[in-house]
Amino acid sequence: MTITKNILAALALITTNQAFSQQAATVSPDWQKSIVLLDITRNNHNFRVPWDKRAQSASKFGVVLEGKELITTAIGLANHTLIRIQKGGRGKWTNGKVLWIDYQANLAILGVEDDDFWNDLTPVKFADAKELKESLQVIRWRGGNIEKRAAEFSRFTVADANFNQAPRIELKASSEIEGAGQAELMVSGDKVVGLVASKISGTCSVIPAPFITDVINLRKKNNYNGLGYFDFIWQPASNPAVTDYFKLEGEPRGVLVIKPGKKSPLKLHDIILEVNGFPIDIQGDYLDPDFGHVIMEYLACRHKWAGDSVSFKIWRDGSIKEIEFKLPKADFSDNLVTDRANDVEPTYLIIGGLVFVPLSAEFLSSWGGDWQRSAPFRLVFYNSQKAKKDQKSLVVLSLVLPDFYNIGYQQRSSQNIVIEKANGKMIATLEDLAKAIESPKDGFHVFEFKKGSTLKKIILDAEKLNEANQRIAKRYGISKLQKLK
Amino acid sequence: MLTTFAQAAEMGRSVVQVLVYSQTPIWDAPWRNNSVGASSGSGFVIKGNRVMTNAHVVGWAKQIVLRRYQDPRPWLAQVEHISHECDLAVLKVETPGFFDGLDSLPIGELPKVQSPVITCGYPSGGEQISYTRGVVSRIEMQNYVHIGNKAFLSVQTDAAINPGNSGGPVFQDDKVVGVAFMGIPGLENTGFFIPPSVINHFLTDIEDGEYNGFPKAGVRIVSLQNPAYRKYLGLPPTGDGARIDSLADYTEKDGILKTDDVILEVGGHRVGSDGTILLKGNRVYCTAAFQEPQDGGKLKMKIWRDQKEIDVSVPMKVRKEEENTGNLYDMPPRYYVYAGLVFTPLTLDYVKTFGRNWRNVANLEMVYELYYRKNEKPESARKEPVVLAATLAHPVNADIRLASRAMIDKINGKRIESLEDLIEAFKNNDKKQHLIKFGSGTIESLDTEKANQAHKGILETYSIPSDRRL
Repeated sequence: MTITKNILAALALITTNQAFSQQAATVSPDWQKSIVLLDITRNNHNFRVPWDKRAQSASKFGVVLEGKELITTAIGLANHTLIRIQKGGRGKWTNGKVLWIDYQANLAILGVEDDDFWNDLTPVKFADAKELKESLQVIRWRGGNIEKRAAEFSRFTVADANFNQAPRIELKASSEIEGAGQAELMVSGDKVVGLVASKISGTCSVIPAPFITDVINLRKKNNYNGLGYFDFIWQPASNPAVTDYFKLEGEPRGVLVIKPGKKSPLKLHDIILEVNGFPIDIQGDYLDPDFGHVIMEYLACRHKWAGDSVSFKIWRDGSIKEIEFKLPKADFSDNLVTDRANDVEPTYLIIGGLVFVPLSAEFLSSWGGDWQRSAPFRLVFYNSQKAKKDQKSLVVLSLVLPDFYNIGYQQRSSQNIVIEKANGKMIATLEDLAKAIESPKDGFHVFEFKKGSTLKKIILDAEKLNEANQRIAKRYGISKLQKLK
Repeated sequence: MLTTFAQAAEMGRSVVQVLVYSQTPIWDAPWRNNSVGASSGSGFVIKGNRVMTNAHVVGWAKQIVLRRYQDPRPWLAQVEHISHECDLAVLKVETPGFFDGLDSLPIGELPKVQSPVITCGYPSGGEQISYTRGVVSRIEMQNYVHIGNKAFLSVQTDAAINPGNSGGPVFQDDKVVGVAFMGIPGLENTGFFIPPSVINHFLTDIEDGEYNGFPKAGVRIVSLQNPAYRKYLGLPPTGDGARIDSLADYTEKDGILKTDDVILEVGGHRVGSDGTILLKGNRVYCTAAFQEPQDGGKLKMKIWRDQKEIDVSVPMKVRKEEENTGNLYDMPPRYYVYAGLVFTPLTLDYVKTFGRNWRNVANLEMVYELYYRKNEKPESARKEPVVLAATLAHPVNADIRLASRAMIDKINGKRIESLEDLIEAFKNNDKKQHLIKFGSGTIESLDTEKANQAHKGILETYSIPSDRRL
């Protein structure tokens, strides 16, 4: 999970498919009828000022599917308040709604209630795995007209955890198109190769068609269980002395488990030799029939979903063993830093001006794209840790709204510290904290922070808390002093 | 009183130029050194035929030569005592006759804010002695940049203090009231000098012929201004006293001071609720008082604990626990090279080899180990965390992927608490492979026999004089 790499696709596949692709390229479908413009308004939350929201609008594209539905990427849809859809690049806007969304898969299906909307729209055809590399074009609406820009296939990669993200296959293609990444269509001939999920400098990251097709089909059958993942961490076993140490017979191969997960039956220092029948090489790659050499993490998603079974051939205690592993849902619930909760407003609890929030992925992300460097080190470090029995998640005192009630706690040292106990009770969630506040000790609220924090203890006057809360809410214009769920 | 021109000129005769050739080690190739560099500073004669200067002027020195006022002859000197924490050093002069005709300069008292001072020394921009005049701007606890992780009392002045001034005296009346030592880049008309209390502490410390250092109480003191907190502790809503928020592991073990103790008085100084004391008319942070005793001395405190005032006498000791988070000097880095793998202790100096943004480059475990573990999980802290700094390429180690900048957890099953542990773990292995477990959980291995065979050859190939420096 933590090891990301990019491997060029096998060249052999390109040559065998060339004839077919060229043939396909001669057909020129009318993309105008298959791509629509989306205008999305959403509430953008600042997780460091969690009661504050800012409406934001953004444009994206949607692609027409069979059965009067549209598909687009999920990114940018969280906490949306309005979705407007325009076809033909101009004219009337129609209201749309999200019918289905999965942020892990980064796909969303939209519907429109007005049946007339679907007149003169044509569903697209998706390419299969062998048709993803030749004569690529990026298509979108631009100033009322269809814009087509050439793109060139580069490679397949498996995108990895930026926070808790299940591994996904991505097609990388270079193109000069500006500002792409809003679910533009990538096509080859008359087929859709994928949706452009993002673009960094000259390279588009594209969700490839075979993955989209799989998701659409499963959803149709009401059988979509979400993405699974491998919850263990491994290292390449490219050093023969390491495999010698574990007395692996035969050629060096496979990878070494160095941090087993709670949900998988793999143990420390198992050597993974095969997954689902694919031999794993010493780099941790396998040869995918469609995508060439890719990292073995992808075998958690290659036509597999949460709850499906994956078979492992491993080397353990001097012999080969076969084990089955039921893929856990990629909800990362065993992480100490709680996962991105999409479509949920930020939660918080303000006590006498002390603003408490859950230590979450969103909270850390509020430091920006390079949060790993710019967020306080101590908080970043928790992100690499697993949940503990007595404290499955953490609550942070993120800031103090100054009021004379909390004088003495307004310095920087009382910001971004993790609470351990309140009024003697262990705190893992805001609910714990809300409950602990109900029983002050001898007229005081006692907050204790984790050992090593820049401030270890805060005491507030329990009797005057209500009065202070009212005053602070009014002074800072906060309509609700708490939002727990 | 103003220092007169005649006084300053007279005292200036005892101010010398310190010319130094120095060489710093390369922390990630610890048997090597950077090229020799030349630098200069200032110094002045103190009683006992010695010259005082800054530690940073003579740190890592290979040769120290002094030049007297308007005297072209070079005089060879040596460091007698040096304190890198308070940035002071005392030199003795090898060449006889140096002190002939030079008066020693007496150390005065802490000057008052707004009072005039004159700095004297050999700053860059010319060859001859230079005087600048200014006033004392303020007096506060300041981080001393030479060591990097400690704060001492420091006096700010608007008298120009430039490179080369370092180690030179600051005069008031007919006495030395400070040693010029640093400026802050980007700030104008701000120079800093070391006050008499710190100078005298150093001089007293070395009287027995040995430098011990400044003792540390190992407490974090925070303000006590919230009325609820004061009430909780049984104190009136406003008034004196700062609170002990947390204790270093060793202080906790001593059991004399406790968290939530309120310090009412320290070393005879009343402590305000913001944690400051009044020191000769200046409000400064109370840690200044903690630095008054010598190593092994006692510090008297009045403490509010369990609703009553008690007197405690805290034994003060020099603590080395946090040495690796400050800059290190004059002690060449410890290391061990085995089969091309270069191991060295985790220190600030080592991680600084990653570049100015080392915090972004170093992995999380390393930063945590260096700065946080001691405070958060002292029971799991190592005496001397060791890193794999580099791998000197050779067929025997070529398959090792994680070849540098990695924390060592275990070697051959032995938890590594120091470089000595590591050497022993390699030496005592009777298995066919050495197993190296890193802080991240990653494992690497070396063939034991091949590693032993290649060991000597690698040292020769890379011209490493010895496989270890302990």
